[in-house]
Amino acid sequence: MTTIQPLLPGTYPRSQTLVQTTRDYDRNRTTKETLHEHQTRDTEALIGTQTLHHYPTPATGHITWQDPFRPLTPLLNNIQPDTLTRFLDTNTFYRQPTIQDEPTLKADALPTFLTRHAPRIPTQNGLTTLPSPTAWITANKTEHDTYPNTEHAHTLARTLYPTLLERLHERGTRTIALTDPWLSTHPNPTPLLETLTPLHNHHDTPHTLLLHLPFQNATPHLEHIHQQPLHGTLIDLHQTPHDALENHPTDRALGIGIIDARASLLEREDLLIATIDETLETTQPHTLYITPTGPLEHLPEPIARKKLRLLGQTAHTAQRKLQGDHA
Amino acid sequence: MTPPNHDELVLHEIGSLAKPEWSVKPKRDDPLTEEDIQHAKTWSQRLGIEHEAKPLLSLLNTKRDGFTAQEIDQLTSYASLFAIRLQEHAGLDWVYDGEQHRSEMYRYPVTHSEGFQFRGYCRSFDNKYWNKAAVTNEPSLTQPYHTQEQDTIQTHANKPIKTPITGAYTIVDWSFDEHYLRKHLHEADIHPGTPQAKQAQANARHEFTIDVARNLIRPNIQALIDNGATWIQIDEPAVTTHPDEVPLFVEAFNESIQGLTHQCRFSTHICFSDYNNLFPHILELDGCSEFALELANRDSWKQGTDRDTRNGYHMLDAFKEHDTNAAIGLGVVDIHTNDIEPPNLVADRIRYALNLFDDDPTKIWPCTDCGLRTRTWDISHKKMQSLVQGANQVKQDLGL
Repeated sequence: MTTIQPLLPGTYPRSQTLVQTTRDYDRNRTTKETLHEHQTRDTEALIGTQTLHHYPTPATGHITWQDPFRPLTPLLNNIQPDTLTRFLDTNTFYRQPTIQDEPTLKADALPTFLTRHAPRIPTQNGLTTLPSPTAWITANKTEHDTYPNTEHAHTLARTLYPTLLERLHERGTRTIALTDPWLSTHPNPTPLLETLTPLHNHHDTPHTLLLHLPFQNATPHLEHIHQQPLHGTLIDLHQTPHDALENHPTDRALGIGIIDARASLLEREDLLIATIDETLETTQPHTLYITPTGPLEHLPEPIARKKLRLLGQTAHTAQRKLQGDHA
Repeated sequence: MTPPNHDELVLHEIGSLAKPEWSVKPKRDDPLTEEDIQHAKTWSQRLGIEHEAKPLLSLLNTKRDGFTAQEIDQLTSYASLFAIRLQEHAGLDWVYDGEQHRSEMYRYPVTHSEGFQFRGYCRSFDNKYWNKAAVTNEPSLTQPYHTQEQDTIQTHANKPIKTPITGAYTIVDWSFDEHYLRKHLHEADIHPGTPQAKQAQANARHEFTIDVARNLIRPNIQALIDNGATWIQIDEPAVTTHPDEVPLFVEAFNESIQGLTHQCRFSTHICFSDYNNLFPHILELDGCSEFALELANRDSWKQGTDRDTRNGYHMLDAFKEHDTNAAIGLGVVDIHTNDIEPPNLVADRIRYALNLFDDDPTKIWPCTDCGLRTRTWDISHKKMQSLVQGANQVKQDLGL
């Protein structure tokens, strides 16, 4: 029988208090200690809410991250945060990680990264979202519609990721969501997906590796994704039609994004349950993750919290319903 | 103020300018510093308005904090005067007060409309956040929200006034929807992620946009016209964010000015996006006299009028190819840098565009790329002066 679990990949919004504290810190109106205190409070509150609402694999929410790449670029030679770029069709911008030459790892920068941006997960069963190696290429489209050399993604998969995954494992991460919101915008993503192979082969730690494809129709790529050494795929069910799930391998986890990560209107639980039922009529993976359609950081935190709770409740109700139906 | 009787190389700024601390701080109840007072004194001298600014300087000399509501209104009015004189002194043909009365282009109209509630901060970039509202009921207007500002500007301005307003599509795109989606999705029992849900979302978005155009934008425009407006610029920076929704922008623009096109000049400002996505839909715009476009930001700083040198202006090709029956608001000054464009560079940019449009000066209206609010007044003034000097070189070429 399928296990239904809520999961929160991607960056979670900062509380309104932390937004203000960060602004105060940037204007020299408060101390670094106060800022760190508020960041810790946000992270703990997020983990607490997930624990309360039956998230078996809680996420720390990347509270300190300014965008998907910024905390990671100091770990790399030859990659710099550069041009402010619109994140898909949202009103949020990220800095393109410009690749100047073959990236190499700055191992001595790892402790700072871990202290500032990878808090320990108390349950020792946590989720961390990282940009997929493919995202370093797909996020880097230029004005002239060109992309960096795919080989750089292979290099990153061989250098940055094994070390990073190992250190994250020490801090309680057991599940890694490799996110690429831009994959479907790339004209030829198939060769890029090959970069995921060394990730699986080279690390010794027993992570569950999930490919996370938020805010996009994953249909054209699913067949090839299923051939990659991954434990599962997280898709946006608002963009990806149901029938694309028909060929999902049952030995792999499936994540369905059903809570709209860009709409403040709270979903109706009964309609979400109906969508889960329809999914299970199409495919029966061993694990069905219920997720938002993308990172919740596009919502104000009070609304994100309501959606986080709804996600937990919905997964719980759906699991009970499935068990009842099964019995 | 009577508009000039020519439409050749019309020079204008796009909208926003920085707000002086002596106007902003009293609203926050922050005390003024000597530096803030000096700013007002220096600029009154630079702009030659010491006499007009005398009551302001007297007020600032007597108190640094604890301003009354009436005094705060006075400070706003003086900020408006200074911003207008800044543009007039630089030599622009049409002026505005750089949004001295407005908080900013989203918050101001939403705050002054019914049917919205602010939901909290969303990230813009890095550690920068903005307060995003949700529509929770059909939007409506208690009273037009730009006429008081217009009264003040009309009192101050010696040149004709162009009034920018935020367009319906941008207000919708920058807001959450808790009213129309509830109606089209929840009340219709539609399951998330189904084709029916997509259609319902599109229907909700359409209804929301047209309601904003009809209930908020058009009454504001009507009030501005009744109060003497002769040029209204509808700002739509969000329009090419969703290329598939350009037809919705067109419908909203037409709805906003329906029945008013012969009473006023209308234009639109679009920036920082791929303008090719506008075509062919914008050919259906009814009564749009100008497309004011950000272009200098993409261009090289080399002298020259050849195509390779003017690489930032290739987006004009689509406007040349289609007959839009509108002028190009030619962004010739980059708002993202403190470097001042030399007048010769501005002139070359105008010459390149003129050449593309058969040397017709009624088709090219030089302007800044976007509002200059992130630049100091000193930089903004110099950039606008450079704009004017460059345009004057071209006017001389053309014998205008």
